[in-house]
Amino acid sequence: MSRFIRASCGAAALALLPAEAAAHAFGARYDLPLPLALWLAAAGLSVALSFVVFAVALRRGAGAPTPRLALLRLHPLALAALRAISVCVFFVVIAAGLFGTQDPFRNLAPAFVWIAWWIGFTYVSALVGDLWALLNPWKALYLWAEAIARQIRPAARFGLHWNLPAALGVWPATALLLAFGWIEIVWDGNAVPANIAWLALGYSLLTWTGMFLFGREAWLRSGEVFAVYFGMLAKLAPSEVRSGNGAAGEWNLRPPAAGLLDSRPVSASAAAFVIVMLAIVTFDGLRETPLWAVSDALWSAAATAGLLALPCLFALAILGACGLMAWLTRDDTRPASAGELARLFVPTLLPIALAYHVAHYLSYLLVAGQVVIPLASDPLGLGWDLFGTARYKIAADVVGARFAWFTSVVVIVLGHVLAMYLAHRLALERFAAPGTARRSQYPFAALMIAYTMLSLWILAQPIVETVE
Amino acid sequence: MSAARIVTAVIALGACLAQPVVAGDESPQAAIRTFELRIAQRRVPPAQRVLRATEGERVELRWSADEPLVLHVHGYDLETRVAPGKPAVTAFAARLTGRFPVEIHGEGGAKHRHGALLHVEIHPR
Repeated sequence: MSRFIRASCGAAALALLPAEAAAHAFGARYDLPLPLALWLAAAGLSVALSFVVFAVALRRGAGAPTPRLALLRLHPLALAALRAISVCVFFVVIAAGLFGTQDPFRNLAPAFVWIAWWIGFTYVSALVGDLWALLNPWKALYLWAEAIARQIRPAARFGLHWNLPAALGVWPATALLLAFGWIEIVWDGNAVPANIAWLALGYSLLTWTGMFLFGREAWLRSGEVFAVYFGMLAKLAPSEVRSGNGAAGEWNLRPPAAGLLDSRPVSASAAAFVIVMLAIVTFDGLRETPLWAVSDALWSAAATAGLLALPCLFALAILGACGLMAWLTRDDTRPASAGELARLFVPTLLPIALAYHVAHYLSYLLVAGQVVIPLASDPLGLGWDLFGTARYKIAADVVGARFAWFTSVVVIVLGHVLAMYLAHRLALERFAAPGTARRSQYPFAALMIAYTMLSLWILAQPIVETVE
Repeated sequence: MSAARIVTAVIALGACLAQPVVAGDESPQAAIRTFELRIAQRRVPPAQRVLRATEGERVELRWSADEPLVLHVHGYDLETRVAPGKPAVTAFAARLTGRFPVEIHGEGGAKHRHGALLHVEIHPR
């Protein structure tokens, strides 16, 4: 997203009068590189705590059922109201994109989609639970269409309900995630409000076609990329949202990250989806480091190549570590293949990816995200003041460098420890002997430490733009 | 209260209100960090691509240039016009910490996926 801003800053600068220069605060990220001392502290803590996990986690009894505590059961009417609000916001964003001003800084669509929703909802999903399952406007609109169809012809079933081959898994969503990542990071036109509206409309058509052909839930599971994405992050959350067949939603409390303790390996496509998630967030930081300083002319081509290459590199590194793990555990009662181990352990990398995501984006969300406050009152940039917030000025000093540094270090160390712990728990369930489980974790722990170090290294680099 | 006192109070109050916002949290004895920056062909010497200052200091960027330019300090959102023979100063109290690009605005420069002219790093105290 910072690219959205960077690319659009220039265009906006042409159009803006000096008096409106305040709008620039919206865009850029002003992060200071992590100082060496903090980098060393975080790196040292991560490695040291890795040994603590080795010592402690392996003594824990594994296999106990996860406790769940029902918090709230949403009344169908309350759920319908939430969905109605979500659908309204969806239409406002599309209307803003189509009919509003095309200045990305004065239109709600770019700020809402790229900052409030794409970053903000990532945190909501990981910290609260899978609220997207309740609020998803595409799902809500399709549910309403189904209800209307039932009123008109009670006997007929809405949609074709073709069989989506099980082997397809979440590959459609994985491909869509890669495409979305390309739009986010590489594409120059991603901040133009009309482009955002047309993309949303095109994606709506695709989603509803998928739901009509293969059934709503089948498509939500394998093709609706945001349902898969936010659902994956929600595995980290300390609560789970379950929505039955559109009738009611229930909200349960459970231990954080319990969703990642499923001892069955995920499908190959789901593992690929997670790897693409990791690669996109890492690449978004990596391309701002001096390592990635390429010339203007080559930028798009190089970024596209990098975005495609990084998931492959990650997959190779993970398969390598899992190959080693398979070799180290070959005397287990049920020897595992590298592929099976990768599918079992890849989701445990999610906490590190989320931690890096928080370190990379939190201060940006807190500062630049404020722009949604004035824009909510004037979504189309026509001078309205619906909620009396149109004159709100961004407080650029809500967070400073110190806040950014310390949150980065804390969340990255926490994410690392959580990831190590989860992988150990899974290893204990998978392998018969604790000794084998411990051995299995050496290569994966090395991989996790490497991934954490890469994340910290990126944060310690100054943000650079293209070279001349 | 005498008339003279009231006048003094009003003047003092007026002086307070008239203070520019930027100078609001700046103590009179704040250290001044000055940079002499000569822009030639839209560049500054490599040693000046990153300028460092500490939170609370007063930063003065003293510009001279070989062509008319509009310079924009991001984050602080300050614009300064500079032209040949007309040096200019961008001065501000360093209250926000971070790494702020200074960019050349106006024709030409904005079209490119612009590299910044330089970065000002304000480090926490």
